Amino acid sequence: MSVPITFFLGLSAILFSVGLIGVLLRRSPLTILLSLEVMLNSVNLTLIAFSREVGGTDGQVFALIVMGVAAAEVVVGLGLVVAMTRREMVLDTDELRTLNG
Amino acid sequence: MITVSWLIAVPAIAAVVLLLLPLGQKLAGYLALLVSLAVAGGVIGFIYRYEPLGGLQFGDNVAWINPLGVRWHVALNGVSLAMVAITALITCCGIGYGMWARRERSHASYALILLTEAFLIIVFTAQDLVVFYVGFEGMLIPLLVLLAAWGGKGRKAAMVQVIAYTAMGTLLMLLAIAWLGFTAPGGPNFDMVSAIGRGNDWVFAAFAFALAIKSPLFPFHGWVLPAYREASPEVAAVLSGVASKAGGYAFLAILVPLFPEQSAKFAWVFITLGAIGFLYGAFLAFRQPDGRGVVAYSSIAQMSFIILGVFLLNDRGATGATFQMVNHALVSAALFLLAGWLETQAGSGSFKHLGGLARSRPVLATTALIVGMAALAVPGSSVFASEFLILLGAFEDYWWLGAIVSIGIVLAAMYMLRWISAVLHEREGDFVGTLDPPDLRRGALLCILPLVLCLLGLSIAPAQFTDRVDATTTAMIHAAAQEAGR
Amino acid sequence: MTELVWITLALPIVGVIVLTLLGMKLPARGAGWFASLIMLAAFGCAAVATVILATRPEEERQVVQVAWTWLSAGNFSVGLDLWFDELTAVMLLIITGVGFLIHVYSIGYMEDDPQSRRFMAYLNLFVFSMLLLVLSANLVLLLAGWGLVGLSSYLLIGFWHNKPKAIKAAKKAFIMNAIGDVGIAIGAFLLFVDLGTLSYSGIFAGAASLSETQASIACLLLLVGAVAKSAQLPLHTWLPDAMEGPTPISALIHAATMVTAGVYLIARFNPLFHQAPKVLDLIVIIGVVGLLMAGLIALVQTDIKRIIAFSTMSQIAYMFVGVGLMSYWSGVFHLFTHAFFKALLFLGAGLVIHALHGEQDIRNMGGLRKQLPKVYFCMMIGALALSGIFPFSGGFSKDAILSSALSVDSPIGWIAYVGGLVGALLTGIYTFRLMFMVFHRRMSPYAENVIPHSVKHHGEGPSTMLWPVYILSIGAAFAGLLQIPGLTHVFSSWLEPISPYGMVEATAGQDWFTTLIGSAVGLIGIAVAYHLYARENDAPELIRNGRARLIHRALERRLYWDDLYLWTFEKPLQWASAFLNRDVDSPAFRWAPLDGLGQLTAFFGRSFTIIENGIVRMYALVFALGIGAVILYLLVRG
Repeated sequence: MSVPITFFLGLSAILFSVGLIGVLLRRSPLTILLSLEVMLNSVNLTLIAFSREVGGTDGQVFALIVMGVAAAEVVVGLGLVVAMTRREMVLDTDELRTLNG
Repeated sequence: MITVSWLIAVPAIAAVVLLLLPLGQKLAGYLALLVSLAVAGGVIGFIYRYEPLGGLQFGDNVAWINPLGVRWHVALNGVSLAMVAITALITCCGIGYGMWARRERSHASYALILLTEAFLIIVFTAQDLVVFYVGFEGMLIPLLVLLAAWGGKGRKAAMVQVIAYTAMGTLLMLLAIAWLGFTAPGGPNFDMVSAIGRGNDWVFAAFAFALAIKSPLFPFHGWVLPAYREASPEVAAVLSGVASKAGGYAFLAILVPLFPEQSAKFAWVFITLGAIGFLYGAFLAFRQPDGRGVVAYSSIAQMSFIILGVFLLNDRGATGATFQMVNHALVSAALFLLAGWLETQAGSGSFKHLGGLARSRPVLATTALIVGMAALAVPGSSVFASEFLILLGAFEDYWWLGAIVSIGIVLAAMYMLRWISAVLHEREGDFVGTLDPPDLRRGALLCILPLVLCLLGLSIAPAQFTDRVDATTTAMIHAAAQEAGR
Repeated sequence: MTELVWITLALPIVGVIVLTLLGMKLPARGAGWFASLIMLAAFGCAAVATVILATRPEEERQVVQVAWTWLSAGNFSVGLDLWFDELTAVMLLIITGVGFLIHVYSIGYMEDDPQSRRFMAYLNLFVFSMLLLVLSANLVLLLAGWGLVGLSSYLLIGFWHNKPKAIKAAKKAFIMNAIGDVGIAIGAFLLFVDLGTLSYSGIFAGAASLSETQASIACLLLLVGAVAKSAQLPLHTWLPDAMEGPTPISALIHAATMVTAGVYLIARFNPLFHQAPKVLDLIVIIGVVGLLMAGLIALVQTDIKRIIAFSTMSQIAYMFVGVGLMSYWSGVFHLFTHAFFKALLFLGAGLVIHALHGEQDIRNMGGLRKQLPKVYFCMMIGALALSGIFPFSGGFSKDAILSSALSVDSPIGWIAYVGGLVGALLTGIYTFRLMFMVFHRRMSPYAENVIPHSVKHHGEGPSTMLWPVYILSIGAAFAGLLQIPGLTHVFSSWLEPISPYGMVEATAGQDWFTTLIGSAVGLIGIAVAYHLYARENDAPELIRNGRARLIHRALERRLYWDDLYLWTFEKPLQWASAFLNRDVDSPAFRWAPLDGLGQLTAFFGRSFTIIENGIVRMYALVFALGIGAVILYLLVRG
């Protein structure tokens, strides 16, 4: 007897919410990146769970792509953080407001 | 068999050739002149073969953009023919004038004028709304480049004004056209005939707004003065002579037939604005410091008057308006070319520096006098004939209107006499004294003379013109006139 | 016969075209003679055509011929139609005949002017326009001729275009006439709306069906045109200023032909005016007031040409009285004789001015009768004719008008009669004031300086200038014999058919009575002038500075009409135009829409910057909320 899909989905939803709250509330770029990873992985979990439920491999393929994209995104994100640190900028997203209108 | 499409294709192709091939300035000039003369020749052929009662003629109607149901449908009726004829004539004169004035990078300016001609002929012959829109919007591109590259000192501000005004208008017109096309029964269809009577008040208003700006109808005339003052003379001639007629033409040939119900319902708006504009333009022309200003405001007055004539919705008003469009095209083009001549030869267009030019310059004096007298509609001239028709039409239904507008005719006499005497008569201006310009000679004269001869010819037998367009104009206003209960 | 009329009309325009195209290639004198010969040929054609017309029976004397359709739209159409009848024939003869003489005169007058070819071309253009005016058979073509004579008058008044005064006068004349043109045009529109036609035959046939109000409004509008062209109250102020033009022009256009077009118009439209008796009365009133006013103003003017100009206005006012009393023939008869004696006076004045090297102020003349005896003799004939002394031509025609007034025997007739006699007195005074000031008295220092030299070199003037004056003198002396009361009635019976309702014609007794009184009044006027002006005395100065000096001043300023128009029309127009230019057009229509567009864009921009605060977390929150909203929507929709 296998674990029912609702468990996976519940866990995934909790993880996603945690990630989202992290993104919205934390101001350190590093933590935001961490939270983003959590969100992405919660989605991966959903994909794989559905994939097992349906019996196809599409979901797994998607999950792999998401991992790849996530890795690339982390590279860029961390690169930015390192660059910011080198320039001795404040690591606080609320202070970085050059995008305001 | 030569059709209208040829008149569009030949100048357009010539324009591309002129832009791409590294021809010498002189050769480019002669090629452009030759092309414009060829177009004029084609138009003369059409005039010769045109059957006044034959409906649309010399047309093409082929599928163009299939998914949208847009067809390349161009053809001539009486009014189109008149407009195409003045387009061809004024293009010839404009290119000739450009050759005489020796512009820098002249091959590009010829190309752009030819391109303008192609777009204008599209406007005047289009029977499909999208085709019409292409011409209406497209002609702005070469005209704006011409204004930007060869204009006077204030050309940037002028361009901003032209773009702001016309873009506002044409955007709304595009929406109106899209609405008409996509609500057509049986799939998108932009043919003008299929759009008759389907529009509602809002579509009508959007359409009319764009045309009012282009014409220009009071109070949408803000762009006119800067554009006419800053453009080079031949471009100003094309702008005021022909491009502005795109608005007047579309009022008569597209708006009124397509929206008969709304045209009858809102005719009073246009008649009121036209009457106000006629007087307003005359009042303003009276105090302008230079010739271009006078012509600009008299153009506003005349175009307002023409639109008034269209919305009288009777055959005298409509035929008179068509005739007046042709006359005004000839007069304003000639006046702008003369103004350009003055600016190059006498060094200024401002009345402060001019005066006394008639002395020992008989050709200039005669030409300017004939044009000036035509412009003030001296009785017996063709302009008089057309104004007479419009006023006669006005009197039938609104006698008080005719009486008010008649004041504008006296005002026109006043501002044109002011122009004539400020340029030709009275004391010699300081620039005239120092520069001592020669008489109007071959090159420049040849550019103005055809316009003057056309004016004289039309004065001798205006019926030759009115007989050819009368059937068309009557058909155009027929439905609206019935709506209005006439 | 109609061919001849066509040729008459075509000849002058041929002249214009030839003179314009050849221009400087023609020798100056050759151009002058060419233009004159064209006029002579036109006169010949007109004369032959008139003779042929006279041989026809009376009911066939009205010829209408259509050349081509000039203008058409819908059911409206007017042609290039000619109308040739008795009245046209008279006008044709005057225009081409006097026109020919003045062309010849101009050859001498413009001898030293390098632009004489242009002058000749303009003259021919004028004659063409005037012929078109009187020959047209519909209102549109009449209006065309009407406007073209205004144009040629403008060109000729402003012929010396480096004289700002001349240009100003030319513009004034054109604009006042444009008001008249508009009047006629509106009248034409009304008639078209009422009758559906603009041809004379249609209008005359339909006139009877018009109500009195309709006919009166149409007639009033036509009257606006007539008043403007004929320099009658209240649109008369252009005529004195028009004297800035060359003197032959004053003789031809502003005395003999164009200014009488208003009289022609009323006489031509007599079937229409017959339906509007109140307008006819108004015409008489305008005439009486005008002739008195112009006569009074002429008393104090000092410019020789302006005196004659006011006299012209006064004489045309007599013609207005004549046609207003429905005695159309007498009005046209006075037009006919006036063409002779007034052209004569102008041409004579031109000779005087020529001899004095351009001096026009009569105070700088005096005593010229010994130096210019021929001119003096001819001008004396003209002056006697103008003063209406029996048996000179002006006496017959003026008295014909007055005796018509007598025979009408209504209040309006009595006003006209008494006013006309007072006017005759004034005429005698101002005419002979001019004659005495110019030819009698002691010679002024200026004239003493100039005249011996000028007479020694040129005599009294070149023969091209003298002969036309002689011929006109013959006309001025004897033209009246066409219509001797009780004996000959060539003119009245010739013009009888033009009015379907008949004309007022006095009895021979009334005529002789009026002639007697008229001549007596004229002689009294001459006597007064003699007393005041024939010798040096201080009476004129006493009047000038005496108790009536305010009136005198007012008359010198021409009763302030010019000032009235300056302050009621010209200035307000300029103010309005300047105001609209400065304070309305540029801010409201040129910049306001652009500013508005800019403001609108900026407003939207500012509105949306509130959420564009640059805090990335906020963007993420909005994004998340948006997604949430979409999901919620999908859930709710099911």
